[in-house]
Amino acid sequence: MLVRLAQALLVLMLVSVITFVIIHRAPGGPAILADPMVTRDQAREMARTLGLDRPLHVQYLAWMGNVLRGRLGISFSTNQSVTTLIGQRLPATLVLSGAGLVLALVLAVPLGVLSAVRRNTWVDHLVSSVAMFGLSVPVFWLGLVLILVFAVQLRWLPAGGMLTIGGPSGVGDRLTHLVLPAFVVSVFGLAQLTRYMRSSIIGVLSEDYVRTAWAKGLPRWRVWYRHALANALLPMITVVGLMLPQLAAGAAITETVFAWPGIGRLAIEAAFQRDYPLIMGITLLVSALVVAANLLTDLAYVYLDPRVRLR
Amino acid sequence: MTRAIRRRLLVPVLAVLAVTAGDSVGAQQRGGVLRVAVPTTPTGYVITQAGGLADVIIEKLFQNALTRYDEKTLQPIPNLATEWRAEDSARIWTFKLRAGVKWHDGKPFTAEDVKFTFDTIFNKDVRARMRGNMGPLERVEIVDPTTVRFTFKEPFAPFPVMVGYNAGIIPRHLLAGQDPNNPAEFLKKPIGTGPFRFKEAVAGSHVVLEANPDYWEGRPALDQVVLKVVPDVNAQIAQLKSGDLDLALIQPKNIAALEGDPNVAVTTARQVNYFYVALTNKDEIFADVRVRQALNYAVDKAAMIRAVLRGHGEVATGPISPVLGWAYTKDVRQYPYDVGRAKALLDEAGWRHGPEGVRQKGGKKLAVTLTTSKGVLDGEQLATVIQQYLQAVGVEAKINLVEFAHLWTGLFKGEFQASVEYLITPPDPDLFGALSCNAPLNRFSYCNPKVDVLLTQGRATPDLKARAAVYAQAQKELAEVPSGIYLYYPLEVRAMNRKFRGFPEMPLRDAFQHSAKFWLAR
Repeated sequence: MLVRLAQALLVLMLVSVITFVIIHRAPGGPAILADPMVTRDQAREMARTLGLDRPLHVQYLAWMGNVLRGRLGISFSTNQSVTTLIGQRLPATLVLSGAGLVLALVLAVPLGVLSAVRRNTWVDHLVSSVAMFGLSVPVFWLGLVLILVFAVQLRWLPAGGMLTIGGPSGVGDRLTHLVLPAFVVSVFGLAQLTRYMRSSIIGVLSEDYVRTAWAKGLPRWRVWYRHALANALLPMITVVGLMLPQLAAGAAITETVFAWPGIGRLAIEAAFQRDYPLIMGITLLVSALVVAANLLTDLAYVYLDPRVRLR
Repeated sequence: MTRAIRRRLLVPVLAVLAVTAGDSVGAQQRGGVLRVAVPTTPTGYVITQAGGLADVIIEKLFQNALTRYDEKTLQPIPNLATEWRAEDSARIWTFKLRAGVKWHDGKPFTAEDVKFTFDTIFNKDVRARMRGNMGPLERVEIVDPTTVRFTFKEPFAPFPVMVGYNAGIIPRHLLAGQDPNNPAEFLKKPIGTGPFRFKEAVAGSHVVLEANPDYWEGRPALDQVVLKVVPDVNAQIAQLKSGDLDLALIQPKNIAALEGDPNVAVTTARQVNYFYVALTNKDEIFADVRVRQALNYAVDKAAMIRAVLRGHGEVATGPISPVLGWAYTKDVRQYPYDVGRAKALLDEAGWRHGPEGVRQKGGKKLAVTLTTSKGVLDGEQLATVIQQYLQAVGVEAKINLVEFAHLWTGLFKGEFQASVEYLITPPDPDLFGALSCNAPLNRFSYCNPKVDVLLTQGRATPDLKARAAVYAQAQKELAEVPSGIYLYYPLEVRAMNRKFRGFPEMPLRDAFQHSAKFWLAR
């Protein structure tokens, strides 16, 4: 376990070094220094106040030193602390992605099972077609179409944002704002999970213990749900585990289309502005989550699958 | 001279008063919330944030600059300053401040605040981008509590325009002693002297401003202005249609989506914005003025306006926009689309027909690389069209797409030979920094002694008529000896709630200087 932790820290450091070098070496530089009204002399002064005139390794070590002290630095483009900026945006992203993931799981599991047990019937074909559509539909297009239908034409749901500004911003209001973006966020995961669920169930249905269960004369639902589903869900842990980091990384496109104030959009803005501290902060957060999700996935197997043991 | 300036100032002031009075007599209704689309979260701190649309708008809602712009002429008119005069060929500017103005926290606004603001802008440790707009300022002195004097190293006639350009005065009593780059405490609840007070901000979502009942111009008609962060233009259109937004800047290609909408009106306005191809004048191909002239004949600017802007633009005749009616002149050498003349000029310059239709001289091909960025509106499309026009006259053209920030830094470093770009400038014809020899912002490495003399003279001529005459000559010379390919002046396209009134027909960014007059019909 200690080895795994050490590996995780090493991965994080490598990611940060690579990101740091790439963003600093890319042509251009921070947007605040590249303005048609800013002279080169002035840009040089501004670069100095940002510490960008120092050698790259010195800059990296200074950044790392701050991170170890729990500070992620000050954003170039907004002059606010990166921790504050991320803290402001993280809750919105967790709500949206969390709702999306729950929706995806709740729908994908029964759809996958249905598809598997009715394999090669019209039900299976229908579910598979819908899943293929979900995997291939462009998110921005789907989002805009839903806005046009439900917000502009039918006026059932709001066109964007997290709540009615200056209005009754209670739970109900927030939920109506959440419906469309959460559905859009869930679509890809839903399609993916449905396909995985289907093949996982199909795989499990040919296992010996399922044949034994049939042979014992157990009722259909008992075989499907108690024997097949429980075991078929195991590999899903890996799939969901891989999706977890996305929870915090945010769904940049959905957030943009629905004007949702999340991390994904913050990351896009940071990248456009070449806001080094903000890019580094978000990268560090997301990579830490990937590493943590992988660890959690492994631990979940230890807990749920008696064949796996901690070494 | 000084009296002449003051007299001319009176006219627009009276005009504004008349318009305000006309609106408020009976017609104007109080109340309502105006929701404006912005692409990013505004910060409310103009010193380090001037530039982005969100910050440009919020600055005008809750702050005041010394001057603002007349709705028709875009010339500076009183704001926090009531009058100003130039001395010593515009090397010294004295501003008289409005008395009785209060900050949103009730403290009085004084000359100390003005001095503090400019000292902060000129502090070398502060990342104030607008510093470059303010000319060679040497010192700011408080003459008396309502008079401030600015002394420059060189004459600087554009100053009254520049102090109105995203340069809201900041409160010394709250900001002195705070980190001028990141006044964290202040930003929790920023204040100004403007028509609206800061009420609430949710990062990434919106900022709510409410009417300032003690505003020196009188309480604004609107109860609130909400800046809604909606980064995607299609989402903005949807929110306009669904009634969730009242005002947004859109592009000509979006107009069709709003046509016939009973609640949304689309209007256009001239703006201080021009599109051009910057040609590096020291490049061995472009050093010959005949090549630069030829390329101006080779592109069909009117067709580009029709295709790219759906007709919402005017052919550019030089770097000064026609929105500056007093300074702009059309009476310059014109470059109509004329392939024959383009070819003749290239022949004359010694670029003869070579293999594969590409001209050459001394064995060298006439090859041009057009750099642009997706960050330049329609930049890629423009570059593609220009590429075809150039090929038609025997110029081989390649397109190089770069990041937006790279576009601005690369040209200065001489990395790009030609770039398709645009410039939004303050509403003043001053081009000294952009086109005089060796000027720090000369993107073209343009050097024309005649132009240099005129641009220097323009900065030393505060009298408007005399100044206009200087720039008329400069425009003639800049058309005769072009710095690049002047493409077009795009019109600004605004989509707004049909009930929204009192919005002047000036560029949107400047129109917010008059937000106290905005109102919503019931």
